[in-house]
Amino acid sequence: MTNPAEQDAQEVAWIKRAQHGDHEAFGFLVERFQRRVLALIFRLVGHRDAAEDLAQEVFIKAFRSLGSYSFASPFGSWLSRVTVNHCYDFLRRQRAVGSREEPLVQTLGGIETTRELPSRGEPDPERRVVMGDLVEKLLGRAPADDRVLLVLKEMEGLSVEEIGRALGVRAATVKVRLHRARKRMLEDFRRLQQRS
Amino acid sequence: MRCKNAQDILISGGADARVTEHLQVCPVCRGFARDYENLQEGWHALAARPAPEPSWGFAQRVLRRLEELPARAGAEENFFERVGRRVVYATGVLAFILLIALALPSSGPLRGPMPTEVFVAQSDRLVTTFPEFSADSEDIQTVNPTPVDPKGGTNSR
Repeated sequence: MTNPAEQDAQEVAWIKRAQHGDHEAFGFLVERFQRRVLALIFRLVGHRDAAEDLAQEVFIKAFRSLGSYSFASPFGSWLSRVTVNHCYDFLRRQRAVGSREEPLVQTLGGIETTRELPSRGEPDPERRVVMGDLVEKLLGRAPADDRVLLVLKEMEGLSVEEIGRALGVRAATVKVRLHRARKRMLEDFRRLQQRS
Repeated sequence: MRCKNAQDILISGGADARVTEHLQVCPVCRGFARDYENLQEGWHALAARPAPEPSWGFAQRVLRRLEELPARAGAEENFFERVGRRVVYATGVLAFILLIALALPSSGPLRGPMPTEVFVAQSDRLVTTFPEFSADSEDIQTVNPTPVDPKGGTNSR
């Protein structure tokens, strides 16, 4: 059980009121967590346009499931779990309709792949932009499972245990899946390098 | 150390002295390590990008949607979550197939004639061939018995 003192007293009061159906109290929670939820969704899904709609759906889902929140973990972590699961479903649905199935060449068409990547060494803003774009595109064509794991680990900086709790799987399973996901992405990256 | 082991350790995010030694003598794994570092740099660059800000009135829109949704929708959603959407969809598909099967005409090409249908068809043929077997002819005989010839004997045709 999380010590209520660890959470803001005001936040605890809002949660308890919202658990009894108080919309106004839930509105305060939305105000407090909206940036965090939207940022996480944007990173998981990668679509700016879809992110806000998904964020609304996440908060509605959270309100409906608020009865199951028992203060066993901070409210932010619980909300992140709801967010991750919702995005995971969204990504799987997208994959099911095949909207993300694009060949590597087409996916990477927007990036200048025919020239050498800027060499490492001194911090180079141009190089950072190119590498960031590249990872974004590779992420866009990764399977939903890989994408969720990689974003949570590499961008959100969660530990293997935290990811396991968020996804409802064991840490050992996360470790294995993460290893495979990293390997697949590196293979894609190297294929691209060979082509260029 | 084998290349596969060295690469697995690199991907797992740890590089001990043995891996470092291996990299000094193995150009393939050096290339692998360089690519992996590039990828990590891409991750850091992507993570550093600012996320979009919620648009003005976001919280109010969430609350409006909450108020617009009927309470029943929540119960349905919870049911779907509990039972599993896939199970529900599969049951729906099975029910649909069952309905289609029941709606098919009994004389359709997918279903053979039932024993009762065969019997009825045979009875019809029998009546056509031998009209005297029909129930009507029996009734006629019962209601109008053969007339008696006043001269004695029966009136046979």
